[in-house]
Amino acid sequence: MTGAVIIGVGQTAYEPAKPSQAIPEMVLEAVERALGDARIGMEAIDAVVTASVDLWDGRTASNIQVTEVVGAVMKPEARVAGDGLLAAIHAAMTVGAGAYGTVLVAAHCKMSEGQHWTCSSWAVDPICQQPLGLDFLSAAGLQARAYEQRHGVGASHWARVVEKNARSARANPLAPRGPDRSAADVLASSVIADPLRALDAAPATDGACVLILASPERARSLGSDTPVALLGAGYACEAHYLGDRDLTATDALGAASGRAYTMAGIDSPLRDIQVVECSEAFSYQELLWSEGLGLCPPGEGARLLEEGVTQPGGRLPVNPSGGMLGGSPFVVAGLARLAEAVLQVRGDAAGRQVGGVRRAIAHGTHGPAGQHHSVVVVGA
Amino acid sequence: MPQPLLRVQALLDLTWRYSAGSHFTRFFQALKDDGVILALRCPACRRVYLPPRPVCGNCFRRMEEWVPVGPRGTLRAFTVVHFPFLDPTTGQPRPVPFGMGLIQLDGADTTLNHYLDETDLGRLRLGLRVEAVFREPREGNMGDIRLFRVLAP
Amino acid sequence: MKWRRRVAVIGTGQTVHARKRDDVSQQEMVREAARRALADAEMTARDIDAVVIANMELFEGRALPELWCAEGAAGAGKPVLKIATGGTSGTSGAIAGALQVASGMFDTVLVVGFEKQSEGQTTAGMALTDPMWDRHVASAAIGNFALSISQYMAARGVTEEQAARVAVKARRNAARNPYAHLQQPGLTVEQVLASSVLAWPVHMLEMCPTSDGACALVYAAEDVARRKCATPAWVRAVATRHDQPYIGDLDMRLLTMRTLRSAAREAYAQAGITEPLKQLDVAEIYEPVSYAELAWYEALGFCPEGEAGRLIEDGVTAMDGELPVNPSGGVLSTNPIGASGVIRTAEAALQIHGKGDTRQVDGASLALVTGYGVYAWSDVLILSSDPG
Repeated sequence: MTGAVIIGVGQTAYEPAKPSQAIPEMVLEAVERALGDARIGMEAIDAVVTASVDLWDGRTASNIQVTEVVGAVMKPEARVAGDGLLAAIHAAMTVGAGAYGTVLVAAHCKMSEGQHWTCSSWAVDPICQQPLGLDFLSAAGLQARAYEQRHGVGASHWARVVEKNARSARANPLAPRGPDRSAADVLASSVIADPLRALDAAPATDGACVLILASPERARSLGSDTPVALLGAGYACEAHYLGDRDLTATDALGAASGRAYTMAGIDSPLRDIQVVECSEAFSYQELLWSEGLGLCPPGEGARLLEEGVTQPGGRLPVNPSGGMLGGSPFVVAGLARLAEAVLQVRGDAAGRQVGGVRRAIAHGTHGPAGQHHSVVVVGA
Repeated sequence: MPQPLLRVQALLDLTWRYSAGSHFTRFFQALKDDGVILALRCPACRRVYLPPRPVCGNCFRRMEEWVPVGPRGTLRAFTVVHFPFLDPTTGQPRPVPFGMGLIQLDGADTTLNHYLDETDLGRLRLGLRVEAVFREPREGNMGDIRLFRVLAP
Repeated sequence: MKWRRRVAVIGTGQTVHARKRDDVSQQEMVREAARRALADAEMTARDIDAVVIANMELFEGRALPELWCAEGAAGAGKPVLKIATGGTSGTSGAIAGALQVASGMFDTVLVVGFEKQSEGQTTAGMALTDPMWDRHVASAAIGNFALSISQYMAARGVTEEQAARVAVKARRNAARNPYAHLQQPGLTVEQVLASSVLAWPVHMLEMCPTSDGACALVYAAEDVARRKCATPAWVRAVATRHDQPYIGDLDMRLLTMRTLRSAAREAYAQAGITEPLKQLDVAEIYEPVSYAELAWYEALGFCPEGEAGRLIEDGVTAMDGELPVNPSGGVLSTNPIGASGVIRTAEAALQIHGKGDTRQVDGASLALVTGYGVYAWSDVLILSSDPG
């Protein structure tokens, strides 16, 4: 138990672009939904943790622009410059420390305003890797190829992840509207970073997600009737140079999930968890992250999918929301996964509800080829 | 003293397409079409804000009441800058010296940071009356206000 | 303060700060500070449970720099998180690290703040302000401060000489700090006032520099701290306040400084401080420009409103005064943005550790730390040799 519960969730619709909205009004939409969901006013918020990355926003200290809409005026606020799930974990720690009774966590990104892949090259070290043209896309290509070579699981398998998540996204009222994507569509799309194809990559979207965390005592005094407990959390960062890593192993993810499971008293995710929301920026990553999350042994992620285990009606659905492939922006993705996990535990995941959810996993990642991972276990 | 290291150079060349959003769009539209400077009033504390934004940060209330302010105002702070800062609108150092001020437009509660047409410190003091000088033709962005002219007493 | 458990700073380390640290990469610069902090805490990388990095990456033209640089801070394989909140990044990071230990999630956390501005284009980073509004003026921090100072001077009657004394104190103190960037032991008020005017009334020699540097802290939970450290610097209070996004929103910014006043009030209450000048032994406050330090004296309750000039003239905040302010030389002498707030915290902690060398304030046991950033964001921490 981390000492924190989630009492409110708010997300904007995720869209390829929101040209009529500037970032503050986009974030305000999610804030108002979260406050409404928690049935509290902004005056009940003690502190704020935001997540945004300056280079993606094209603004120095990108949290300045949201200060007023997240209620941080004359309040404590800290910005975690990375995936939003990490911001939620940090917020949970501040609640667990006894410093704040309620913390609002807000993540935003308008990918339509910037240049995602180019920005990502600036997240790669400037001395050895960036000059080679490495960015998150090419790093993923390298990882996908390494995965294929190790396990004999390739493009035709990953394409089925896209098919599954695109179909699930159609049931998610917040996901962008789009056509069904069959595995054949994926395999027919153009190569972007061999062996990855255009439809293997999560689409660029705009959106914001807000969660409200509280201590259990404060949740009670606020009259929250559906608090969802943050049972366990972990995060870890691997070595930076790709050559220092085994890209087919999932060391950081294993460490992060191991930590989260220990805290939450989870022995076997397949047995103890009923739904997983993971951040698959690329199709093959859902398979690899499934292995790192301990849902199956290395190399068996595709088998899980083919046996229907991770399908919406399966034993352990993965990404019933549609995941990142269904449309979830960079930085927001991990927090949105947590939002979805909370909705699942509460039975509020309209259109995408998995039956009998007692415990759910949310996962976030950032960095080249999943260098950094965050994992959270939530439950009733 | 250790040897300096070799350097790896990289050029950051990025483009961002910022959405103005509904509030700035309305503001710039009024500026362009009517030469009017609009501000927003908070329904709770009644504070009149420039620039416009979705909520009053003190009250966390959405603001919908638009009020015209200026074009005259009062100088609430001033300086003369001698350091050639990078001018974000040109990408070049701004020629020095240049005057700057915080101007409280008539009707507004916040002040506006902008250039002044005066660079003689001896002629600048708090409380001076100033007036916005517009760029013609107006384009619908902040550059439409070129600077503030100090009015004769 | 009802934190779940007590937390203390048990080790600090920093680089030699300079205009250009051409001899190290960003990662190596981080390592220099981290290594020193670990050595100071008598720990190894293995002993660190998690790492917090503080940095404003746009000034180096980077994104997610902790992914690369955290390895220099023993971060590979560990939980690593990066905090970025403008000038308050360092104090934000320091507060975040303390809270992480207090939560029980980690027993030890290493916080490293760094900035290597010589590798980027600070002016370009500073120009990426609000694109609709702020970006139409070439103002930068100096211009903005100058505007606020014109209000402060008019209302309080502080003189250029009084402000210059702040710079003289800072740079002379820095001369006794082997890590400080600008060390000017012989600096005089006349020299400050003769230096070129950047933006009236701010002279070159009373404005903070741009520096390359890193600074690290080791935090430990109570049982570890008691075991490892002779005089842990216990975290007795932390407080943060952010404010509205445009300079024009802030009414008479330096005069009111509501964020600092409110944060200080909260921190003082938590730590049982009712007479700061009397009770505090040392203060490391975040002063980007000379006049700011005077404004902070008033906001922090060191003196009544309007008396800040007298305080500096009477030497109350000098090394041999009643409350030495910035024995390290402050931000005025050293300013690697992401590190500056960590430096304030580290300098306060090492005073309590008794490791201040030639800048040690004798018997320092209760210390104040402040952070400042953006237009008016404020952090306050109180460290003490008394766990409370």
